[in-house]
Amino acid sequence: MFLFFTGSTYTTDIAAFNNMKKAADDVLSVERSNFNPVRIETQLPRWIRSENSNIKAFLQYYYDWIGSLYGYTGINLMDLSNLSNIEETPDFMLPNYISMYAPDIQGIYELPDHLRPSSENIRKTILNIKNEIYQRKSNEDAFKSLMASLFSIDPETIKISYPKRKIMRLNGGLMEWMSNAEYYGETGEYSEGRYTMVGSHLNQGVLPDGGMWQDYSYLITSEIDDSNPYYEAIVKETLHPAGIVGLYEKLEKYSEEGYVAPPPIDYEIPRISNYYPYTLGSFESLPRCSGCTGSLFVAGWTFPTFAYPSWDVEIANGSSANFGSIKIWDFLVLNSFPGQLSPNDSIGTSCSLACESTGGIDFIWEIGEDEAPSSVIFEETYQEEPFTKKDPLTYDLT
Amino acid sequence: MAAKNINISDLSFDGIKTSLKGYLKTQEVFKDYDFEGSAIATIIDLLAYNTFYYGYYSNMIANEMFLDTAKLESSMISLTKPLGYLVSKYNSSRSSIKLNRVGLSVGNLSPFSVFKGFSVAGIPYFFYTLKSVRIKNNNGVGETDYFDVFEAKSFTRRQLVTVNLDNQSFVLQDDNIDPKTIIVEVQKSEGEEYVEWINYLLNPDSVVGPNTEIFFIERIKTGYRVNFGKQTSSDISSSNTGKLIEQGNKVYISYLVSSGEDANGVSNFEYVRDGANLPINVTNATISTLSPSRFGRSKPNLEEIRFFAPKSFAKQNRLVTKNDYYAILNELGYGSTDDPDFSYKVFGGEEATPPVYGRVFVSLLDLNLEDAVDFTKKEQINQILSVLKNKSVVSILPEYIPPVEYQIKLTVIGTLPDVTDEDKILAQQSIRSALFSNYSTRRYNQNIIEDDIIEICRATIDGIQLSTGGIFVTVIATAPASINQRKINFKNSIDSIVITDDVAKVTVKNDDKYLYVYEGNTKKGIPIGELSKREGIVTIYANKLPNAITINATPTNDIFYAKDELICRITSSSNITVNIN
Repeated sequence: MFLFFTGSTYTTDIAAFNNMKKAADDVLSVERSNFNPVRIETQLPRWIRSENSNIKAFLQYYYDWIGSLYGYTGINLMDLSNLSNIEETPDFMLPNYISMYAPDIQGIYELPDHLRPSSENIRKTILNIKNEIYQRKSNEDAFKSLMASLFSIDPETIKISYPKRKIMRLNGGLMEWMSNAEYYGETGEYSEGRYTMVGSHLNQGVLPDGGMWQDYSYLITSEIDDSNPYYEAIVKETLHPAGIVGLYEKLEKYSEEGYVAPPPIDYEIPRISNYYPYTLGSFESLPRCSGCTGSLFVAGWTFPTFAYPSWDVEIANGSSANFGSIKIWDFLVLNSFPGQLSPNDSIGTSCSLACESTGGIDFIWEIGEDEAPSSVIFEETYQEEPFTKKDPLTYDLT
Repeated sequence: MAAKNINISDLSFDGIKTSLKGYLKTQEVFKDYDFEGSAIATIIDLLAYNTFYYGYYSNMIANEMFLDTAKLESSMISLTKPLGYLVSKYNSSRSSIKLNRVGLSVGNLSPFSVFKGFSVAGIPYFFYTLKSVRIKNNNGVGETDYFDVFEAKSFTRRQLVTVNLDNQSFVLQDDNIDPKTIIVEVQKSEGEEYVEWINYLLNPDSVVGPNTEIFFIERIKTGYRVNFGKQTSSDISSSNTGKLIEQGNKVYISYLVSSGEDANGVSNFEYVRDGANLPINVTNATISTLSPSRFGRSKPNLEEIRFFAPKSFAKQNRLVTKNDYYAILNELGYGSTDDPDFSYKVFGGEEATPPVYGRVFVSLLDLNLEDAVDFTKKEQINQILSVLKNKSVVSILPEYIPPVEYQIKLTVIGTLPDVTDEDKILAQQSIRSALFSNYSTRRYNQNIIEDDIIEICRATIDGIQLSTGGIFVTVIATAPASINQRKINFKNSIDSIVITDDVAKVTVKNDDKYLYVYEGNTKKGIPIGELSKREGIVTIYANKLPNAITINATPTNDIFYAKDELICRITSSSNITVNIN
């Protein structure tokens, strides 16, 4: 095969030979940012190198050509080490890494291109999958780490909350004998040094149910838009603890009859903020329970009832078989009729009143102005202190 | 299933040659050369061939570097090592047997006691106990509980081995060994008590500390390497990988060499001898067999490895997600395929119907508590739950739920225009056969869905015309005789039911919610139960229909999901009716 390079004496071949030799010298002298690690210069026998620089060039071109396939497949055939280096391996090799080290996130390849995590994020996730995710399974950090690395969500914006903190307990955990101030607090709020069921008022509690409002549930909210909840399946597959309900910022519907909570309310919070009787059609708050009649009337009741003028109007607008335009939400939070004050405004609870009347309470609580139901969003309302502490002695019932 | 091959290089010779010439032509030196008519063509051919082989080699390397594309067993062994997964070659076939009416002169059957069984073809195989088996006194007659026996064509018992103290390991040069049968016993020094160390492969839930007497098995090309704790510094307490073998310790190895899958299906066991040659009186003894031997394997199932090895890695020795439970059940020896639906099912309580929060349910196809041998199975279940509980999240309770099996009856009505009556009959037979093939397997998650049925029919017979209105599904459940209230939960929305009591010759139907005895189309008497259509729950009141009953339910929209522990399948092709007009 070497005859071609050494045997010809024709002028044109000599010229070609010289051209090639020059080119070969150029090729071999250039320090390239090398996609081809094979330096033929160092690999040929000395007798060939000394007498046939053209063959050096030819073979170098050959290996350069093999190396040039890098641009086509993303794999440098002359250096397969990048196959096993996740930081350098081409994108099309990433599914192989995923199926080996992170099989739970394979679902990303079923997502439309515009929703799929970037290659950079995928690499980052696989690199950290053991220490940052698998070994932290079941804790909040693992969720934040996965969502941050795979979906570029700022971990600071990821909130994981626990509906069980808001669940109404019997009597709010408040017993008659608990007259000491240390037992009073907010319903279901076990933080801030209150880790027992006692120390809470009933009024802030949420009725438990068979879905979100029970002891085994968690809610993840993040900056991912509701319209793109694609991350749920992947995060659940990777981290969701079996046996627990995971809610991933989805719109929940309360009614089985198709009622959808009006925006911007994502979750309707069933909340009994005031459990005194209400009087339909009345525009007055009454000093005693005159709104209760018949069997509901309790002789000696000295606490007020409250008026809710809009309800009877709305009911009248509907047929006898329904509640007109009243939504569940209206019942639960006593949504104000336009132009009317909510009867929840500036009132206390039966507990606080009862306790006050017997002198057994140190504080009463009032619903704050920021509790306006039209802007209620889960956690933003409840995670923060929704009540304003007031001196019970200054509370004016009338 | 293996993924699509990785192709990092063109493997077409002509393509390679064209590409090489094209590249050279772009170079100043060669741009005027005629690559077809000179000696350079020979060189180009030569280099193209070289490149071809090089490309082939590169592709092979690339494919063997990843679990989902590797074809070689040796590659799988290497690839799964960093994932903490052992690829064994041979697995011993095993069976559960029970000795009845044995003498009480000896209290225990020794480890490595021998039993002989016969395959269907009449070939004898020998099975061994690996643990001591207690012989109980049952009214003056000795009997055992069910215990496992493992097949072996040969075995090694208490062979002294030399451990390399530097790397704390020794090698077993036989890849026919079933690594799960390896027993390591250590004497502190000669003459002292034998202490059996823990085989991590069998006890993946072990909490390993510096003083844990445990060993780990690693697959090598020619057999297995047994590893002990690794000392990471001069301070022995810094080793968290188990106790070290020390100078003067005597290490003994026992194991079985398996015949692999050949020994599956063996039954009719006979007692041969005690493992320590104790005189067991078996003159009047009989042996009960739970099931013919199974799980014997002569080569690793690469698909199973592809499926479970990454899950085992993701598990990180704890049970949080459903996949973690699947992985550990595979490690415990349940399920021998890459599809767990054929062996077991795991579902969180939040997925259950109705939800039961704080629980994780495990159901195994072969562990039905209604069998006569409840005791052994309950023990097996307790062992599984014990492992699961140790690894699961605190406050989450793993529970066992036996599979519940419902039969499916299908009716398909379609048309096949422009064919003879004979062809229609053949088409009916083909469809019946195809549907039976698709839905007769006993497995979890086998949903019965109209669209799937139509697709199967269309794939079987070209030109058949079907609609969802021509598919009828009936789900058949049975309930045992009882005078107590009985509830049958279909876990799917049900439109109507028909209950038959073959003893009393009674037919019961629902009017809407309540169940009445019907004579023809006339309902008689007062309700004897009720149907909760939406939830699919049938309730038979106490003291009503006391005989065993069969409930035929019509699921809403002729769709039935095999939720939770439900298994639904067609048990006989006679349960498929196909009418083609």
